Amino acid sequence: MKKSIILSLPLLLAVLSCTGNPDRFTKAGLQPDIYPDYIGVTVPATIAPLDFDINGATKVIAIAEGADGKTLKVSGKSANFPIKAWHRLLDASRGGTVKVTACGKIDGTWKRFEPFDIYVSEDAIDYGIAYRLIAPGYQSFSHIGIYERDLSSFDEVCLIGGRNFDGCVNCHSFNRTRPEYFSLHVRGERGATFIRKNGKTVAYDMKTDSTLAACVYPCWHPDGRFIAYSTNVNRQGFHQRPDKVLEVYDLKSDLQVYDTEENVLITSPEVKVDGVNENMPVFSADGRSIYFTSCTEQEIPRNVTEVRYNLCRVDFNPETGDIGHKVDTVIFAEAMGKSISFPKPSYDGRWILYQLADYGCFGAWHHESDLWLLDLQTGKTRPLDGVNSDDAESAHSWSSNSRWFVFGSRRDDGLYTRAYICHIDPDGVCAKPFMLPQKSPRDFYDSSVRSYNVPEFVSGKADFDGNAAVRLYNSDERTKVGFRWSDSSL
Amino acid sequence: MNRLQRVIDWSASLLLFASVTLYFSVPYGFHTLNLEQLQLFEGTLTYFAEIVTRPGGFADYLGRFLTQFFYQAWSGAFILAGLLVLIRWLVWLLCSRKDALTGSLSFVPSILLGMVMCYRFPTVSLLTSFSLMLAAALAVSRMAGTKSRRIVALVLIPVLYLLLGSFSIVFAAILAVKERNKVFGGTILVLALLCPLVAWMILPYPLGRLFYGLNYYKVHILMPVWPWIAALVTAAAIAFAESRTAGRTVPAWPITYGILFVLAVPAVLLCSSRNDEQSLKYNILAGKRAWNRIVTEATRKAPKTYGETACLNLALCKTGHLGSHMFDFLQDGPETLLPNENTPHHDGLSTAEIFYQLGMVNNARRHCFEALNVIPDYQNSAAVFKLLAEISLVNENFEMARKYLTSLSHTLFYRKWAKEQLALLKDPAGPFVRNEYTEKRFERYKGEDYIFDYNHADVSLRQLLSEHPGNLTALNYLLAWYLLQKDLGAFVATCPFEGFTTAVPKAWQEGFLLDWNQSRFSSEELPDFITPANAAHLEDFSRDFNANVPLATMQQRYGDTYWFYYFFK
Repeated sequence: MKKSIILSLPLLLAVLSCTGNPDRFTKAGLQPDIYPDYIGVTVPATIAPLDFDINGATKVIAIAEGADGKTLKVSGKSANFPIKAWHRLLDASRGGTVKVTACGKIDGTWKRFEPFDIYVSEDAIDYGIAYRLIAPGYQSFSHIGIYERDLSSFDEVCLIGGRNFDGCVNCHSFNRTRPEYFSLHVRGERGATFIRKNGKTVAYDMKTDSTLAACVYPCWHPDGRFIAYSTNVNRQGFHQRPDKVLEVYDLKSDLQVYDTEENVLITSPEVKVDGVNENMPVFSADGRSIYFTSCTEQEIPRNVTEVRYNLCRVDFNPETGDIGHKVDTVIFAEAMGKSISFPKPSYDGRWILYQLADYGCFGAWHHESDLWLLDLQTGKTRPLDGVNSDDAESAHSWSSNSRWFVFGSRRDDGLYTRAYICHIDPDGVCAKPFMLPQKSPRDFYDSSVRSYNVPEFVSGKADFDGNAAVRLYNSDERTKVGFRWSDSSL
Repeated sequence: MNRLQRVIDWSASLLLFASVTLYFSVPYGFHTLNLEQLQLFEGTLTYFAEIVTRPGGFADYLGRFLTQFFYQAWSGAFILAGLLVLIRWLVWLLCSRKDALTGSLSFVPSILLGMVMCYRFPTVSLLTSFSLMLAAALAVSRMAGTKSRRIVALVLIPVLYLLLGSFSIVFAAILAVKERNKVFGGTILVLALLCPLVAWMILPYPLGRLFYGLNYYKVHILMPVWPWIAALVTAAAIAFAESRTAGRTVPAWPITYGILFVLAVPAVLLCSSRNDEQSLKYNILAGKRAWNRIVTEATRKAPKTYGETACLNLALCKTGHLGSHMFDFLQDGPETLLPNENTPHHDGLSTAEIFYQLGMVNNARRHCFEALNVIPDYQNSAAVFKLLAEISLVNENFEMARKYLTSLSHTLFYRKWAKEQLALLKDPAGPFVRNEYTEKRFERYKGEDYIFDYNHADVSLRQLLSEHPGNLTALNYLLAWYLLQKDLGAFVATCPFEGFTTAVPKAWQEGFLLDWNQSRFSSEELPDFITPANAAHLEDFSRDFNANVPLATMQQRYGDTYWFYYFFK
């Protein structure tokens, strides 16, 4: 009792200082309806302030109390915490909780809500995330850009694209969060694949006479020498039912590996099979396998709902770049009547996180699309129930220590993808994910009409010279790549 | 200046104001309206902060603020005229000597900038930046104390670059001319040129754009040269006024002003595009659902492009005249009914409107996003947001609707409607109150899912109709689609000839007659819903057609019939 009275004192003082009339202050008897939903989430100690709004409230007072008993009080239209004080609070709460008590002025009346907890993990998180910001569009595209966000603050910088660039920046990838290895495909009249390695950015023309098209979905080999790519001939179709939007499908796709030292694309007949579409290749944590998705070609778009990708694996030789001859099916999703896309092995080699939808290769537009986890030790797979929502979850990526993953979800409004970050413990138990923090989040996300596409962790500032890359894009300087078949003796 | 000269000068300014107001509100009014459609001005701090943080941001913000009043063509034209006259006056005030030559020269920048405003994608920021820069130059040039004036001028250069953009070079040039000091002139000009260079090192914009001005034209790969010629003329006019010595003869006021205005008219007309104006007219009227106005405009001047005809066809359909009048106008295949992204001269918003009216809300939404993406300076559009909000309301995606409505509630002219809808959304039963959106909800397609195929849009229309036989828009479009595809069998099988309570529309009769003519024996008796006049007209057509009557004559006699379309298109 005593303790609760003592705990209530700062709140009382806050209310007095903000309203001057405590009589109007009534207990709501329940936790607040806040946006974003940060109630019970687990965060890293270095995360930016979890600023929030109370739905329906014109004014907010919030008091965050750290594990050491120190408090931080804010008030205003939104609960916007000062960054330095917030970091001190979280730092003192590592492994514990931050208790947040909030009150909101709703319909002219101040209401005090029950406190809620934010769990502060001891597991570190990377410097930031990089993502593509893109407005919905199908034929034409607006100012698309790859952006980098410092997770400890609200600082965002544009790496390439935005208002100064007319190309369509596409699939981007760093090597296990290391930004010094960067692959980026740019579509458009001067389309090219940019690869940055050893501080040098080169624009490649990745189309060869022996391959389908340019390189699309990338994944760096842990050693930084090879990049696995799919090469796709894809199309878009538009559903007629109001509850569905768009379908991205491949007419054809193959798998190939680019050797950055020999400047050659390598493939093998086993991953370039007629009548089969191989897609979304990723290297295993030890770099000795390639996981990828694969499906039997269907008549498209008529049988688009019959397109089902399985998860497969093939050996890879990191010394030579050669691809094995035996393709194993790791998850036969077809038998479940489901389709797998975007497999992502954790860097500790324990898990593969993937996306499961009813059909198709691009679940980001499927409301039913969920994240699933495959335990590579036991071979068991399961949906991440506490993480998934009624809407699409997609485009996930691991932190360098494999204790966090970031993913895109359309749960907020059904159309615009927002970035969420989730903690996962060594046993695969996931905490409640939290939306990427923003200052005055309701205003921010309400006015944002672009999606956070393919968020990926970066361990440090990318320090990518976007202007130089734009000049390179605008030049005719393209490096052609060679082609070879994988050595049959592997 | 004597009294008469003053009267002439005032009259010239008045003439400029009146002619700009008149031009941009009547014959060129849809260009004015179009500028409003290409932006969504929100009265919020976030929006303000987003814009003012770029070089020239303050002038851009002011330009956008004024552009929202282009919601009505006359108020937009009034603002344009006001800004152009203001620019003229500022240049005139900056000229130290007032005579007929400097007087007429001081009109040239306004005329050149007015020419830019006749293009498809100008910004009002161009005018706000130019006028504020001139005002700053005037204020500084009138400051007492040479030293303090020069210090203020030098300090203002980077400030003006940040606030108003690249026209800070004009400010520098004016001050350099007026100060008549080579060291100061060189310093201020170098400083002005350094600003874009420094910005280039810090900001992610190409150097060319930073020199030209980030917000002076919407399409940064097609920036017209006129604004900088206007800047050059301004500096030259002021320099000319400064350098002239007394006693030199100048032409009479009426002559110089007369020549100026005689040259200005063709220059403005040269920069104007009647075709663009016509296209914009149809697109904007379709967006405003002004169906009767579209039909009236088409009667006055027939549409020429796919996009225009598509708007007209929608208007004809909504006014119940598609079947009776569609072939009165140029039809050129099914794309004049349902344009797609590859259709020349199509417009995203009006195409979205067609699909919305049909009940194909997914396609409507898709074209809305296309419409947003083609706005050259990446702004949002209040008009598109409004349709997106309506689509979301129809689709019961209330969270999406709330998002678009919230943005619209921060605007001046869409606020009332947006707030009404937001108020409805607050009430759980609100979104289900009977209104046009709940009505549309019943009409939209909800059946078995499939991927839309433009080449087989009839399949979608048929599906729509099978779910909602009362969807007359879909029925008319399906019939018109079959006619434009020249699929007479499907047309005759679909058209409910016997169901019309009034006379069967002319085009439907013509389709039926052609099919009848091609597939039946002539001795068979025509059904009652075919009027004798139409049957006789087909006989005439057949006779002329078989007699190889020249195409021009055929067009003259039968250009408004389906048969002419069928055989000659």
